[in-house]
Amino acid sequence: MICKNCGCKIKGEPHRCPLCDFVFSEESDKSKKKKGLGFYKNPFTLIYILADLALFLILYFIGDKLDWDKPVLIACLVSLIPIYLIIRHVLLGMRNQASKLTILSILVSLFLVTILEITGYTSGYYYIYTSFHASIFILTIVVVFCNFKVYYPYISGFPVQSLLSWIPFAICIARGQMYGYPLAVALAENLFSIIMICCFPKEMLNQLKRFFAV
Amino acid sequence: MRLSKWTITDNSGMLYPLILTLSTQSNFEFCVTLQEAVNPLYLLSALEKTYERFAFTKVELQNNLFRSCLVENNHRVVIHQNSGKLLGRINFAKNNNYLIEVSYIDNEIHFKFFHSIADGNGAMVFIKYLLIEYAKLTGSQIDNDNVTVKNGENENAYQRYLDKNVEAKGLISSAKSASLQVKGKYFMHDGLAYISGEIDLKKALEVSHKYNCSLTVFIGAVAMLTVNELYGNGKKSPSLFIPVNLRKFFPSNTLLNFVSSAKCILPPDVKDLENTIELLSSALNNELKEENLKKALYLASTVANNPFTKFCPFFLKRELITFGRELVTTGTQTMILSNIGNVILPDGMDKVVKNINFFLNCNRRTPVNLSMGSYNGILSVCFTRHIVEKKIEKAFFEKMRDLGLDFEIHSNYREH
Repeated sequence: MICKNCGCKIKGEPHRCPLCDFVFSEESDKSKKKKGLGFYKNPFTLIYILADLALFLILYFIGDKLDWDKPVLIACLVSLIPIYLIIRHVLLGMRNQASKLTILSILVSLFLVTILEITGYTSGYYYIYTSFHASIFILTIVVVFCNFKVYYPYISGFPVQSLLSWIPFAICIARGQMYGYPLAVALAENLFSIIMICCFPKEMLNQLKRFFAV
Repeated sequence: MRLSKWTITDNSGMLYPLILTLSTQSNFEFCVTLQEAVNPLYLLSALEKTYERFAFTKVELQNNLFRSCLVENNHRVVIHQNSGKLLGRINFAKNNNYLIEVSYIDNEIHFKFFHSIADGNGAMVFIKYLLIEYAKLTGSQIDNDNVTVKNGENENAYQRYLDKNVEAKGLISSAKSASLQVKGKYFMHDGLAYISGEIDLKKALEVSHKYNCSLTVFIGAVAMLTVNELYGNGKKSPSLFIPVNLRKFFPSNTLLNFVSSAKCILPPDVKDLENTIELLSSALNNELKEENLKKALYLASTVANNPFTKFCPFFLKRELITFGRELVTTGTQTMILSNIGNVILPDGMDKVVKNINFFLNCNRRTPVNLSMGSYNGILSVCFTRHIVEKKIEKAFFEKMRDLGLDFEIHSNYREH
């Protein structure tokens, strides 16, 4: 067939011209549009939920019996990986080994110092859980305000995920433990979700639909 | 032909495992369109026979302490349904560690080759054999005489023709000189977009002969002129990188990698087609002189023969090379143009095979590349791109139409 707009010959019966994007048939073009990232295809969300679930189970069943020194460090280091990757891409935009190492070492030091300061290596297994949430929270702020259009498919489930942050708060209340920190994290995450929805209602709604799409 | 327990990859092939990362793989892809829908059972059987015939391709990649090597792969041979993702990564685990991924969809067979195992020429021999075997299974009477076993099919031809007395001074710096860059918004996910144009080969040859040049030079010149008009700033030189089949200059039966590259640099102020063709032609002829080819061969063997890289542990070498590559953020060439030439299949194969397309990989440094090849009197010129913008393709095909060459376009409609 021949494109009426640019005049090029096109093989087969496509819905639009590959060169000038002139649409031949509106209906078929709509049907070909990208479906978006479903819940099971979104690695970021999936990892987050699974990690959340695993941490919750560990805390609930064997939290009291564990020596938390090493798990605290491991969990903090693991939670650094996504933050490190996204920050490097978004803020620096460089694919430079030196920048990777610098940012990684800064983040590691910061987190270790913070964790040592807060936990003193001994108490509060819920800090792992809340640290995880806090790190995702920081990451999301960076992502959203630096390059929303690129990364928002990956944070589509944030409003849903943020609801999970009430769980550590509930555990702390139930066990009569200190609850200030988890409460702060939960409030911050949920507040941020509301801001996200208010700022980008259309995108967030679409992404929430995709989040539950199979 | 049996393999020894492990075989060292050729001088050029050993570079690809070193730059293999989670997001980067050095692959190239062929798409063969059949006259009828693909029969997966026949395809699998033909693939098994082809692996039997070319035993050195039935391998997996293993990294030992100092270098990567090819080890005989005894896993089951597998084919897949094509995902529609052009030049996405080969999932080695899903592919039972084979370095060639064969997939099918409707009447198309896709062959994705990891570059360590073969170059375009070697891959084409593999594909031809497979297609003939497939045709035989469908009941066609095809002669398969031209693919008999030859000596040295898996020789490291670089090593055979390597001249260690070549004056290497300045070689790397000239190969690494900065060029005009194509810029755009990169795709978010794995896979590339392509826009391919098909034209009558005779007509294309007529036009190129009118300009007194080869088809490669003609297409390359039009592409370079287009890029310079769109992205040129009058300061940086557009440069075209053309892979050269060294078998034509240094006789060898090898089906492993045996290619070099000719880097043709044009002046930044190049404006008209005649002038571009003349400059490109002379630059290519200069690069194809024996002394320059020897230098290129030497350069291709640098990693293999340098004592430091020879005895440096593999993991360290890999880290150093990745680090070096990441420090260089600008590309050394504007575009790569690869021509696989005229693909000739035995008589009767035109009833089975409709068309053959060749796709070249792209990366952030060279986000738009061009490949060409012809089969059965049809020339396919195919742009692959890693960026959303397609203004080069649009301007290129408009220019071709102004020159009297009308293409039939097709694409995979990748937009983000």
